[in-house]
Formats: sequence, structure tokens, C-alpha cells
Amino acid sequence: MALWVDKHRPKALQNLDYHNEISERLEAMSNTASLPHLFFFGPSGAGKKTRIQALLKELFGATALKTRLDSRTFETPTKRKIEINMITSSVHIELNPSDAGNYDRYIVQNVIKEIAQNHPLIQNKQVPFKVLIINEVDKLSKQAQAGLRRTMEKYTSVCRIILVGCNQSKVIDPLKSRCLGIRVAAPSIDAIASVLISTGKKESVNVPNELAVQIARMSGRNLRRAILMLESAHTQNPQLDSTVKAPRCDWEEYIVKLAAEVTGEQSPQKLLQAREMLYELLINCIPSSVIMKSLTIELLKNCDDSLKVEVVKWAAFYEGRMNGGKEIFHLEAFVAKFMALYKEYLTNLFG
Amino acid sequence: MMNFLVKKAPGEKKPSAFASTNKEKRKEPELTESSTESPSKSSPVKKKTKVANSANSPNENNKPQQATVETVDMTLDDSDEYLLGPPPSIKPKPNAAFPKNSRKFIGNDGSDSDDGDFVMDDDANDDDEDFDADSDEDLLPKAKAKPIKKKKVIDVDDSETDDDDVLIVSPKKKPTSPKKTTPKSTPKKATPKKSTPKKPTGPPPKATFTEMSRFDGSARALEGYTFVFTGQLDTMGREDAEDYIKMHGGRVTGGVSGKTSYLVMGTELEDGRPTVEGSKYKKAHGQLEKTTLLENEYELFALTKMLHANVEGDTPAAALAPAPAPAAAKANLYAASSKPSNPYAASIKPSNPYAAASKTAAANPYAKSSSAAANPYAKASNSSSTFSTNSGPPPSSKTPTGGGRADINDRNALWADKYAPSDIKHILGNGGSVKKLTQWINNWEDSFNNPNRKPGRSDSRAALLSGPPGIGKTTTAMLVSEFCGRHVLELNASDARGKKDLEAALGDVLGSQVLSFAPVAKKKKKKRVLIMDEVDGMGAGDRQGMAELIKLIKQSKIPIICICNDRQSQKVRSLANHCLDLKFMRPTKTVIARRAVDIGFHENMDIEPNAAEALAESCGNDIRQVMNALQMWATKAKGKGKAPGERISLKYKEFKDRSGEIGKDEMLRVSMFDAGKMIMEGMRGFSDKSEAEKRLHFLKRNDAYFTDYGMMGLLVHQNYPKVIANHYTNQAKTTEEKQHVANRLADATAAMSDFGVLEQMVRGGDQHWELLTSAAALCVQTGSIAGGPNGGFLPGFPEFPGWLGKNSSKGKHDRLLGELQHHMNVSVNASITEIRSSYIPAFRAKILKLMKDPEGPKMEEVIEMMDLYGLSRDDIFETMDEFCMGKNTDNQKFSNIDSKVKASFTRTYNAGTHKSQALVAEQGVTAKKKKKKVKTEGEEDSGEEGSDDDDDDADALKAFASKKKKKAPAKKKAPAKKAKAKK
Repeated sequence: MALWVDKHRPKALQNLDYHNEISERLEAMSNTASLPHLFFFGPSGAGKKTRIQALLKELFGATALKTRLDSRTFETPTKRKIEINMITSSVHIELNPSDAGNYDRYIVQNVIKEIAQNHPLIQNKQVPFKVLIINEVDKLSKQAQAGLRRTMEKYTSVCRIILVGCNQSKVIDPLKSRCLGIRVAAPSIDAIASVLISTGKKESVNVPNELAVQIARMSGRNLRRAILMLESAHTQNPQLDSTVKAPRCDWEEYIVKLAAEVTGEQSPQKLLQAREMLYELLINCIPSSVIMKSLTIELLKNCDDSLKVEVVKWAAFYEGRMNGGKEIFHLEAFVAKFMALYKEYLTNLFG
Repeated sequence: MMNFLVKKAPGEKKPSAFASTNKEKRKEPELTESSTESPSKSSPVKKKTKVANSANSPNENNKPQQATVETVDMTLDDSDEYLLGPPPSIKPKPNAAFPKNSRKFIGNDGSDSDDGDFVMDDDANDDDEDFDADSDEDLLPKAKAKPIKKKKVIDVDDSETDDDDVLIVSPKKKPTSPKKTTPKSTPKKATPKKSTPKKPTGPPPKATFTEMSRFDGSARALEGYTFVFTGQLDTMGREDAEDYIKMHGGRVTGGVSGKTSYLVMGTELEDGRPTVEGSKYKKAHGQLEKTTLLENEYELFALTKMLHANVEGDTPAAALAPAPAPAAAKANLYAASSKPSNPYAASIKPSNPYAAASKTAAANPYAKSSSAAANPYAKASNSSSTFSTNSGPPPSSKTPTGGGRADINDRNALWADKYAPSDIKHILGNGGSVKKLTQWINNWEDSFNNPNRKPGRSDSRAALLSGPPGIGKTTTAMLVSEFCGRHVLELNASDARGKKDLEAALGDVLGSQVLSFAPVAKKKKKKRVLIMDEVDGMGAGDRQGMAELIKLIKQSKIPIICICNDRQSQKVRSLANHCLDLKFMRPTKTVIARRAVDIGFHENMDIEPNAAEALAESCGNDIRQVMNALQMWATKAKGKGKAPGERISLKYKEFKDRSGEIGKDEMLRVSMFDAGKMIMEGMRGFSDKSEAEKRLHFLKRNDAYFTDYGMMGLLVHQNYPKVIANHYTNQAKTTEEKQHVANRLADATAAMSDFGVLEQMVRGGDQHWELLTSAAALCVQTGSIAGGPNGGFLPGFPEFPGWLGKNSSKGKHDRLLGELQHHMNVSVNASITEIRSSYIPAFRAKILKLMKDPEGPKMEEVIEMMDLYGLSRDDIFETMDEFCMGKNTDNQKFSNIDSKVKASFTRTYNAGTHKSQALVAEQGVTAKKKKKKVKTEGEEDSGEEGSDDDDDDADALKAFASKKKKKAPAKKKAPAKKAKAKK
């Protein structure tokens, strides 16, 4: 009994629900033997991986879907043993080097290079290469990304690389220039709503339009989350009607609470309290960029237009600083900046 | 007390009678005799006598008694106080102990007997004073009844004065003293040290101020008074003010006590409240008879001026008469040494027991010192060369007692070697530990080499001395071993101490005794002792050394003394279990200062007590360092063209001005927390200073960052909002001000964020360590923004950085989530972030719903789903529970599901096979075995129907606990890895 989101995932390019122009292009590419390196980017829940899998199926047939877990260990120059997990089929390998944290560049230099050098197991005349999927490429350190440059050029005869990442701007230019970029934008609210309704139909659950749109909005145009929310709502109230409220995730509610605290009072004491809450979020493995984004969206609800500009500016400023290191410093700086701005705004408003 | 006095009086007239009454005193005549043997030497004492215009023929025969008596007399002179003053200095208690202690220690001179005090450190003095105070009242009537006797004493002195004793002269030539007599009610601190005039009763004097300017007076103006500061002064920072007091010979303490003479009040407290709300003020106000309140620093200056006038007025007389009687406890020794006519000389020399050496050679261990001059600290033979600077090379060539150190006769010998204690009695501080160690060695044979007695469990075959460097651990071990008559075998960090080396070097030694072929050797075979120095330095090179050492300890036939600095280090901890644990503390600065003053005296230096204390403080109470610093000072002064005979002075002011050259780097001694506080309080106390000073302070704070550059950023981050918070609540009143503070908060956090960026550059992938200095500056910037233009105030002790703990639990959660993702990986192509933010909440809702189904838990469905996603039971019941936020999470957690349901779920789950690839790879065959085991347990349970279901749960828990154990090492490793990665 799989979750709906996995159960009803389209397997073929033809079945994809939206972004038809991308599907067409991919289909065209799969018919020629000259697939370029690809870089799929776009927010999570937009359907990047779904499209890649559909593409692989188109290229190699069903063998690409027979995956298994694999792991490889290697030793860093500092004599540390690092294990990296990957998902493999006979025609492709998928891995996530950013799992290794600071050691990601050794993965690029050792594991990926080695994989790229080897010829594919099954000699296929039509498709004479294997595919290497590198996930979360935007989370790779600059050094690791630089390590990919030459590898991508040198072994093109046997290996195509597909990079997947959310944030295009965190990938260095040389890599982007070596790939065909494919932007998988977040689906529109309407697209999500229609997917939700069709999913409901497959599960023989009636999803009212209002609910579908409400969930689509709450999901932040993240289709995966939208479907998961729909299912949660369904588990809670088997009869879905327009009065049903989609449940929020635990961490989202927590961020709403944090925003309320910060807008309620602006003082150093409040900042200390906010710090604790931010720590709590970080401990719960909510990525700092997600915290920043959700918090900003919550905070903006209380601002007028002129203030919004400022707040978004500072959110972007501090978000840009958060790569590795101590994210709490920057989150806190944003909160403090907001407090100062908001306090001034309130004073001007009420005297 | 009374008794004592009575005995004294006759003693002066009849030395023999006196000697018979007091064992200690008996030594002194001998001593003097021997000291007369070297009349040609131009001892400082003699010089002094000349200065005093009363030194004549060196008839020193009677000097000792006279001197001792004299000390009494002088106090006598001062007032009835004398009844109380003398005894502490004469130290009846230590003396009484002498006979017991073996004769070796009989030869304690005045300063030496102070050693007894040294052990007790500062408190000892306080005790003395308390003692004074107590007996004061008791003796009051008697004292009043005494005048005749007193007079008598003085008369006696007079009659003998002609013979040349300085000390005897002094009381006579001190006509002012009786006038200055301070009645008993005057606070003790003040009276004995300084005879204050114009203050018949009540609290210490207070001058009304007329000018608003700083006054710098004599270095002794405030001597004997204790000051406490409260609040912020207008014109000077706290540190400056303390310097000011110390420069004038006063004492500064932190809190108000019965001994506080003055409370100097600032305009307001650090946190903005008025001074009168402070606890110090309240306490001082409650004891106005003891403590005088000074409203501001101008009153302090006025007071200094007034007292300065007094001191200056006294000087002529004081030059002859050492105003503060040496008898009065601690400050007197100091005071004495800085005076032109040195009463110290008198008090030491005559009472020097070493001089007696040549007579009582057999019994006296100091017999080695053939010369009579008194340097109790110098190793035996060097005394003459140090004491009389003009004398030729030292007569004797006795070998120094310390093993293999520099020849102490060498003029260029390090003072640290020269004045290293040569007897266990001379060791500064840690008296308890030294005593314990001595006892332990003495009892060792009885405990472990006694065939009739099995060693008890509590007995240790080895001792472990631990403590910071430079406080005499090695010296103690050496001296104690020698004292107990054992041969010392020492292994230190310069020896290889691996397993093999230890076996080779010690295997034979530990079970054997020393054969001596020396012709005169005693018949008795000498036992050995092994000293393992610097055991915490047994590093990677000394393979298995520690384990081997522990093994050796277990079998040893001789005592082993291990010495280390860091008692907490992992290596030493295992060793400590097998050892008698003796911790050595740093002696207090007062104790060290006193010894420094003494040694300075012997080296022809006049050291102000406050300077000595400051020196000790600046060296972090490291005696060795103090000695080195003093020697450097002396050398430098000589280099400046001081004549060899000229006395070198070390004044507090000079010291403060030049302290940069001396002592350890100031910032090295500051603890991380103090340094952090300094950074966070920013410009505090420097707002009105000149640009240059501000700049200097900035550099100082910059240095403070490097106290621990790994932690300082975090420490500042943890605490700086509190500085702003304090300002926000206490000082910012209007909306405008509040807004201002809020802006400052934003700026400070921005600076912290800048700091974070730089730190990431330093520690992150590229390791740009060259940016560390800029990071330091940004950290300081955070502090100075937080502090504001006038500096801030951080209430309380800085909190330990919370980031470390949070980060490690974040690391743990990351790892758990990683495992979860690994399990789900095949079926879910979401990133780890998506799993956390979308999947887990959905999963939780779904599974909880199924488990709490009104028609009974739908376990099959749950298990089917788990298998599909490759999740194990632990993933659901333990890992997912970790990712649940908010307050009312209890009903959201799987661990809170009814235990019966859980247990039956576990049984059902274990009954099936789960072929998820990740799980099989992880748990492999063991999982199957466990499954079987749990199954049989389940069967048993069903066999004994009705058995408590909780038991089932317990069984299940056990099974999973064992599984968890398997994982435990990995868990531990992960945070460590994280930490490493961060570094």
C-alpha cells in the first residue's frame, strides 16, 4: 500500500501531466543517440526526477527501472573511510555526493571519475553510453563542482551525466555551460489542482475543487507535498468535502508561531527566544533556506508594500550567505534586521 | 597570651631564663654567636645600623633576643595593641610543633616560620587578624594595666641600645609613635600596619575634599587600608582606580567585609542602578564603625593627600624606626623591606637559626652552610655570596642538594634554581599534599613489603601529583623522597617511555634495592623511589607506555610517584585509578609575593608588596616564572649602571609601566570567559579615554579573541544579545531609545553574520586561515556594537556556547534522517529535505491513523507499507519520533501508542520476513536469527497465556535494545566525525 504520490507517479514521458513542451523535447532527444549532458533544475516537487526516470525508460526500456542499492567505500587522503550509497541499474547510476559533506570533492575525484571511465555493462548499439545522475548538485562545494568539469568532457564516449539541483545559481558556470539546461518549473496552481483531482479519481475519492486549490496553494506549488497533503487530509477525513481543511506540517506550524513571536515584540529578549526556536527548527533537519523562505513569507503577511521590499531584500541577503557554516548566525541576523525594520514601521504607523 | 607576655619580659633581661622557657628562642643565641663569626662581612644589616646612626661596635651577642623582644616592644610602643601584635609573628604554634617535627626543622628563622603561614596562605593572615581582634577585647583591661611593664621594657632597650642594635634604637627614636596610638576600636587592618594619627575612635579617617584633581603621593600613603569599589567612577576606570590604590600601598578587595576600611562609591552601578542600591553599599552602611564611605574618587584623592602628609611627616622618624612593627602580621615584612632602615634585616638576621649550624652540625641539616649569613632559601652554601655582595667567592664548595641543576654558587645561576626549596618545609603551599605524600612514602614499606600484612584495597602503590606547571610538583617529589631517605630514580618526558623501554629500564629496578659501595656508606641498604615525571606527556611515541606503567605499579616493590599537569586527560585518568591522588594548587599571590619580597631582600632588591603581588598575578601564580621575572628585573637594573651594592627597587608603579616586559602574556592567563566578556562589553570604561587608549583597548580585545579562537566566536554569539538586552531593559526608556537599541541589535547580528561568513572561509573547504585576524576583528566589532558607544555590561557569568550542543544533536538527527532516506531510497526519489518536510508528516499521519483505527490496529497494512518503503520497525517507532515539532506532540508520537498494541505489532512484524534490500544489507543474517529468537519468546508468551503483556513489551524492547547496541558505536562516531569535519 504505497502512498498515492508514489503509486500514481507517471512512468512514461507520454503520461506526464504538465510541462508538455519539456516532455516533447525529451522524447525527441531520446530518439537520437546523441544525448547531451543535462542539467535539470527547478524547485522540489516540480517533477525533475520523474522526468529523468521517464527519459531513462524511454532510452533504455524497462531495465532502467530495475534498480538496486549499492554502496562504495573509499579512503580520503586523510585516511578516513567514507561510504557512499547509490542507486544503480544496469544502465545508470544515481548518487548524491553532497551526502559526504566536506568530503564531497573526494567523491567527485574518485568515485565519479572511476564510474565515468568504465564502459557500460551492456553494449547497446543504439545507446552506447551509460547515464550518471548526480543529485543535489547545487549543494556540492565549489571544489567538488570544479572537479566535475574535466570528467564531463573526457569520458563523453561512454558516459552522460545528468545533474539535478534546485538552485541553478549555486552551480558554477563552467558546469552549466557543459550541459543542456532543462528548467522544470513548479507547476501552476491549476495544474496541481487538476493532478489532485485526477489522483482522487484514481483512488475513487471525490476531491472538491475548493479543497484542491486550497491544498495547491498551501503546498507552495510543490506537487509532491500537495499529493501527500491530500492523502493526509483523506486519512483524517475519509469523506473529503469543501469544508475540510488541509492539515499543515508540524514544522510549518512552528514557523508560523515563530513569525507571530517576532511580530509580537521586538526586543533583544525576543531575539534570544527566536534563537531557541530557530535552533529547534535546525535540529529537526529543516534546511536553513527553507526556514528563511517560509519565515519570510509568514512575516510578509504583516507588512505593507514598502516594508515588504526591505524585508525581502534582507532575506535574500542573508539567505545568500548561508552555505555551510553556522546558519544560525545568518538566520538570527535576518530576524534582528526584521525586528528593527518592523519596530520602526510600527512606530511610524502608530506614533 | 598573658602568659606569653610575662615570659617575654623577663626574657629580655635574662636571656638564659628566657631560653629555657621557649625552645625556639633557645636556638637563637646560638645563631647569633655564629653570625658574629663573620663580622668582617658588610651585611646589609650592618649598613642599616649605620644609617640609623646608632650602629657601633658589633656586639651582636644579645641581638637575637633583643631583636625578637624588640619586635614586641615596638608594637608595645604603638599602643596596647602590642599585646596582640607580636604573638603571630613569633608564631608560638609552629614553634611548639618543632620538637615533634624532628630537629631538622628547628632552624627556622623568622621568615621561615612564616612558611607555616604560607601554607595557609592569605587566610592565615586574616586569621591572625581575627585573632588579634578577638583577644583585643579580652586583653583590654590587662593591657591597660600594663603601662608600667611596657615602660620597663623600653628602658631595658635603652640601656642596651648603646651596644648598637638598630631595633633597639628605633623605638627610642620614634617619639611620635605613642601619640599615634590607635585605640582598639580602630579596625585592625589599619592599626598595626600604619599608625594613624588623628583618629582616636571610630572608622578610619576621612578627609573632606577641596580640590577636584588627582593626587599622587607617597607609595605608602594608603598602606594598611583596604578599599572596596562599587559602581562606576567618574574620572577613572575600575582598573585605574585599583592601580591608584595599589600604587599608594593600599589593598583592594572585591567585597565588603569586616576588614574593609573604605568603600569608594561611584555615581551609578554598572547596570545603571544608583550606587546606594548595591549590596556593597548596603553592607558597608551597616558597619559604618568599621568602614568609611567615600562618595567619589575626589574624596579618595583627598584622603590620600591627607595620609600622605602624615606619612611624609613620619618619615624622619620612620627612617629610624620601622614604623610598622615586623610583628604585625603580613604587611609588615613588606613594608619593612621597602624602608631605608630595614627592620626586616633585623628581624631576620638575629633570628636566623642557620647561623647556628656550625655549632650544632651533627643535628642540623643546614650544617652544610658554613657561613652564618642568613639566606634561608638559598641552597646551603651560597648564602654568603648572596647576602654580602662584596665578599669574595663563596667559601664552601658543598654540592647543591638538587640533582643536576645549575651550580647554585654560580653568580649567574637562575634564581629559580638558586632559591628552589632545599627542604620540604620550604615548599610554598600545598602543605596537606606534601604531608600526605611524606606519610605515604613512610608507610609504604609497611603496607606493601610487609609479609605479615596484606595490602588493603585502599592502599595505592603509586602516587599521582597533578597541578599546573611551576608550582613545585617535581621539587616536592624529589625533596620528599630525599627526606624519607630514598634514592631517586627519575624518568621524564626526555626519556623514551614506551612499553619496551619501561620494561627494560624498570623491570629490574622495581624489585630491587640499591647497593652502595661507597666506603662510608651506611650499613643500611637504601630503598629507592621511582619518579615518573610528566606522565601526561607519554604520547604516541611511547607505545603502550601507560598500560605498562600501570602494570608495573601493580607489581612494584618500591613506591612510584607519577607527576602530571592535566589530571583530566584521558591517558592520566586510567592511571589515576591506581594512584594516591594528590592535587597541587597554585599558591595564592600573597604567599608568592611574600616569598618574592624575601628573596628580593637577599638579592639586594626592595620590592613593594603590591608590586610583588602584581608580579605574581601577572605570572599566573607560577613561582618559577616569578623568580625568573625578578631576576630579569634585577639584571636589567644592574645593566642600567646601578652600582653592585646599590639596592634595586621594584615599585608598583614601575612594575605596571613595564609589565609588558615581564611575565607571561597577559591574555594567556585570561580565561576564555573573561576574554569573551571583555569583547562583549566593548568600550566599557574606555568611552571617555583618549583615542590612543581606545585603540590600545581595541587591540587588547582583539588579542582576547585569540584566547581560544575556536570558541570565542561561539561564546560571543551566545552572550552578546544579553548585553543589549541589559541596555534595553535598564537604560532605554523612550521609544526612540528603544528603537535605537533595536537598530544596534540588528547591526550587531549583522556583524556576527559577517563573522560567520569569514569563519566559514577559514574553516570551510578553502581553509583561508589568513582571514582569521579579520574574523577576530569582526567578532570584536560585534562586541563593540553590542556594547554601544559607552560599553555594555554583561550581567553574570558568560554562558557556555549553546551552538555546540545544538549542532551535535543536529548531527544526530541528520544521521537518523540519512538512514531513513537510505532505507526509502529505492522507492522514493525525494531528496533528504523533501523526506523530512513532506514525507515524514504524511507517513506519521497515515500510520497513526492505521494503528489507532477504531476497529483495532490494522497491522498488516502498516507492515505492507513499511516493506514497500523499506522501513524497519525502529524507523517508525524511534527515528520518526525524533522529527516531530511543536508543543502538543505527545499524541503524535509512536512511542506513546498503547504498549499492548506496540508489543503485538512487534510480534507481527517479527513474524514476517522483510526483504527490503537496505535492511537486509544492514541487518543481514543476524536479523533472521533475532527473528527466530523473538518468535520463540513470543511462543512462550502465548504458552503462558495471560502473562503480563507489559512483559511482552519488555521482551520486545530488550530485543531492540540489543539491536540498538549494535548500532551504538556508529552513533557515537558520527558526532565525532562531525566535530572533526568542522575543524
